[in-house]
Amino acid sequence: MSTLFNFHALVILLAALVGVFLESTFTLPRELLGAQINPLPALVIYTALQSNLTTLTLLAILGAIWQSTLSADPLGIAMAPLFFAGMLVVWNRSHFVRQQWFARFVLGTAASALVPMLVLFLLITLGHEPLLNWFSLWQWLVTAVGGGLLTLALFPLLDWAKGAVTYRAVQGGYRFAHERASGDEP
Amino acid sequence: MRRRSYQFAAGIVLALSLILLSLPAPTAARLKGALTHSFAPLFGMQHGLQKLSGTAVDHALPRAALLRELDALARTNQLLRIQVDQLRGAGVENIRLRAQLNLKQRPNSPLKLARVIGRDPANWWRAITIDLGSNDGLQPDQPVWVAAGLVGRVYQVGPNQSQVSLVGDPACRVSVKVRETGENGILTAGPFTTFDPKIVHLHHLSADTESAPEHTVVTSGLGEIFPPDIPVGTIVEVDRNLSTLQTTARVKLAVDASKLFEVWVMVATDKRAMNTP
Repeated sequence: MSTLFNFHALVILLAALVGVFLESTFTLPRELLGAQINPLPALVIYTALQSNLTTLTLLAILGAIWQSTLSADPLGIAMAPLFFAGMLVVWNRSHFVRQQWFARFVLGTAASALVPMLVLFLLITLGHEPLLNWFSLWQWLVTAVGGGLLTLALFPLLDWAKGAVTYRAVQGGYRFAHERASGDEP
Repeated sequence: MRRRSYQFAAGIVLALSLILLSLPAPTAARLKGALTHSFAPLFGMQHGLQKLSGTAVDHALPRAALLRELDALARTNQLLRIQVDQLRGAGVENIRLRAQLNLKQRPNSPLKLARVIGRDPANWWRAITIDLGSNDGLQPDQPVWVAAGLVGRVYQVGPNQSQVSLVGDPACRVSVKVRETGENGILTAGPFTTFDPKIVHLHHLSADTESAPEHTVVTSGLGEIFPPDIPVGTIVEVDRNLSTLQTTARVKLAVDASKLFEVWVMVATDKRAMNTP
């Protein structure tokens, strides 16, 4: 069980590292749509729904540090916003029908919209002057919808990576009604 | 129990955020530089793949095309050699005249070629990452340019990588002059810079400015970062408003930063000497 946790956490953190690297080097979204898509909110949603608090905390800390390393952002500025977005999902986990793609898309979109807003709020509070104008609204929209779509893609990919080295949990046993509805594992 | 673990995790995240955000700028920059090592294997793989694809393209190129290119380069080389010979005389004369006027000599600052390996992931900054760092002699505020014109300045330096703040980024304001009129101004991001990163604003021109569209904007050499006379862009529109004391112009940058693959960094040790008029 411990090895499974470690492997799953490792896969999520590795995905964050590669995601941040691709965000910096793969510029096609920026060239086509004028905005770059942030993979971390999508990963936070996946972690909040499919993993545990330790992994979520590690993801928020390391993801934010890695991202700011390749950016002009202050070091770790996205840490609290990412953790906050993840915790909102963790607190309401039983209310989400996590197996439904639409719920995943909505959560991914909401997190991808919330995180940059909070980061910008922090940046401005700290006295930085980010480039903002009306076009930033379009960029925000692209980031949010792109993040939602990325969330949809991440679930099967990371579930596959997790399942590739472990047996599937045996289905059965008693489950509470809200667990059956939300898709919680026993 | 669960509630306590939530509080503990939130406490760790908040405390770490506060510590990192309150670090002095040089310490944070050093820490960032050290943390770029996390990406070293990925950047190494990217470089390897680029080399591999480059080799494949080289093998696929027809010999005739290569010979044509070689011929064109040989001709350009000859022309440049003639120009260098002509300028050498002017250079000697310049040194002699500077000595007579007791002016400081302009140093020959070495240039280093750097590869662009990444761009700022955030949508609200304009910055690139290059593959040279403090191990190669880079320091913050060194100017970066290409043949077409000014690119920006070195912003943060790591051991093997650095971040370059591009012209138009809030962290890269450039003191410039209009070559045709000699008027000075400051180049900053404009309302359209996010939409079109090649358009920036030139501020602090006088109300009765003679600057006009098609005029060339070059670095003024004022300030201690950029040497004078590096091309920056061309004026596309002058916003004349007689009710104000200053005029603003829209400038189209000479360099399209989205198409940059290699840049030159001026690795000079004495900034003041670099800006000698």
